[in-house]
Amino acid sequence: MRTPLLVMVFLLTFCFSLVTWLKPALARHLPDTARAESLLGTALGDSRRLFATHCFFKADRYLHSGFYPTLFDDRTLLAEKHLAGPHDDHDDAADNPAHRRQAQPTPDAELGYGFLGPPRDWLDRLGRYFFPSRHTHLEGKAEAGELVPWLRVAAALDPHRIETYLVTAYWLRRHLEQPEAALQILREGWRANPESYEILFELGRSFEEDRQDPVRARNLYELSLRKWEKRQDGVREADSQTYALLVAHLARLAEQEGRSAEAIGYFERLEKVSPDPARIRERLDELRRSR
Amino acid sequence: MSKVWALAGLVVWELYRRKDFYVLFVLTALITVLMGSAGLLHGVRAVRYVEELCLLLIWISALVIAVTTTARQLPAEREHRTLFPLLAKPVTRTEVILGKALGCWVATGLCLVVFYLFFGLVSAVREQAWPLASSLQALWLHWWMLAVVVAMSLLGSLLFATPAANATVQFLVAGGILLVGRHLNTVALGLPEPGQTLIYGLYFAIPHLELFDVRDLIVHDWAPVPWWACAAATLYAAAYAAAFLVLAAVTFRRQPLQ
Repeated sequence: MRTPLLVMVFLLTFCFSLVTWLKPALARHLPDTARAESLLGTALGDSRRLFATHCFFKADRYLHSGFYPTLFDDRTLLAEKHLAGPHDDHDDAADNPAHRRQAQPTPDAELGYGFLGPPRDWLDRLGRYFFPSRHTHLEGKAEAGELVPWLRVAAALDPHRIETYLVTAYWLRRHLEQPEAALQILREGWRANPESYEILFELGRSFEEDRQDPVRARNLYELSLRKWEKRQDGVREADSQTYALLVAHLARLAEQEGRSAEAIGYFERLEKVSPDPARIRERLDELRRSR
Repeated sequence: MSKVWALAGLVVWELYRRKDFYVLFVLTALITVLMGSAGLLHGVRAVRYVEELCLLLIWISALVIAVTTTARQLPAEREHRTLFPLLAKPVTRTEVILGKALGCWVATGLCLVVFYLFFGLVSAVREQAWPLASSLQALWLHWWMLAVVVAMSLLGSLLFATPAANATVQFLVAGGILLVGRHLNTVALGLPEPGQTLIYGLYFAIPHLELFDVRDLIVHDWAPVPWWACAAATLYAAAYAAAFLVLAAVTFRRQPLQ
């Protein structure tokens, strides 16, 4: 009886000693952002990223009023990228009559069955009356607010997931008309991810479009561009979409402020990555002629 | 039938005296109110996450009440030796089974009414609206789902040695059906034979408890389920509950009392 007890005490003492040695050693090697964990982070450990992803998808599920593929469904059939972000304009989706929730949920929707496919048996057909089985989107300002709690929880659980801040800011700015709240979220995101050029770009857009402050916006875009260049060094597939947007915004600001030489420089950079270089070339010619 | 109702009344009275419902109701109310009052962002109004949480807690609480109340009925009668004097009266074993099942079902129904009244209050306060038709349908379907659970648990209390084992199995079965029941046909179609036939057979054999889960429709403000579909689901639940009760009655009649 005494031997197992002693072994147990020994093991506990060994574990405790190991922790007191390992914890400070690990803390020295971790970056500051990783060390500054919240109570939630300490309690959940790395599993919080899993919960954060769940909350992010939950927001997307809310956007579709509960019509969302599960683990067993074909997710590729819900093809649109719905939660969107800085590169997407999603306004048209809410205006689409196909996306309105007027009638009772029905498996015979004229608009197709979506990821569910046609009913496989009578039970499947009956079951579709009891859960959302039609593709719709949230409508209007009042409903768009329903996404925010899940995105906030996702950001709290995984502060290093940049997409969460971008999407939250997008919805706050574009659908809820809350530019100050969007700015607050983006600042939180920047504090947690100081090297993120995506958040800096979104911050720049907020200052340019909402606060009408082109000077600050330009500073933020330039900082974002520097971070982008730093990040893309040696990367095989560069994030050219954000780069194109950044350069386009900088070119437009330079043009508005009458700095033509700078604007031409940015347009020349944009021409190399733009999907429509002919149009950029026309713009460049116009600028050169006007000088 | 009066004997069955008399037995059912005793079960309802027992739940009234026990603390299970009160504890679960207070917990549900407390968590919902706390989550509802959590500050998110100034100027952003969100209601659905509170409604979803409230309904989830109601579903968990109702399942716990139904399973634990039913699972202990017959074992408690045996343990306290009250089953012998009960059966010494002019009451058949089938009537005991029916009385216990009806009592548990009515008791869980009464609990559900209180829970859904609270949910209505939450909706009315947060959303300034209470979708009455959808809420009534949800309550009705939820109650019929619990009829199947009560019947399964009563049968389980005759098959398993202890109420704890029975309750664990019932939670696993109900939870499993609620989570994956709807997808068994999809899984089956992706399997080679004979796995496909086996899983598809299982899909048709199990009581699809998830059919009665209309939480998403309420939370996301969908229109009520067509009434004929509601009636079909009621008949489906009644058929399964009756089948489990017949099995329970047959098992109880063949089982020695000690």
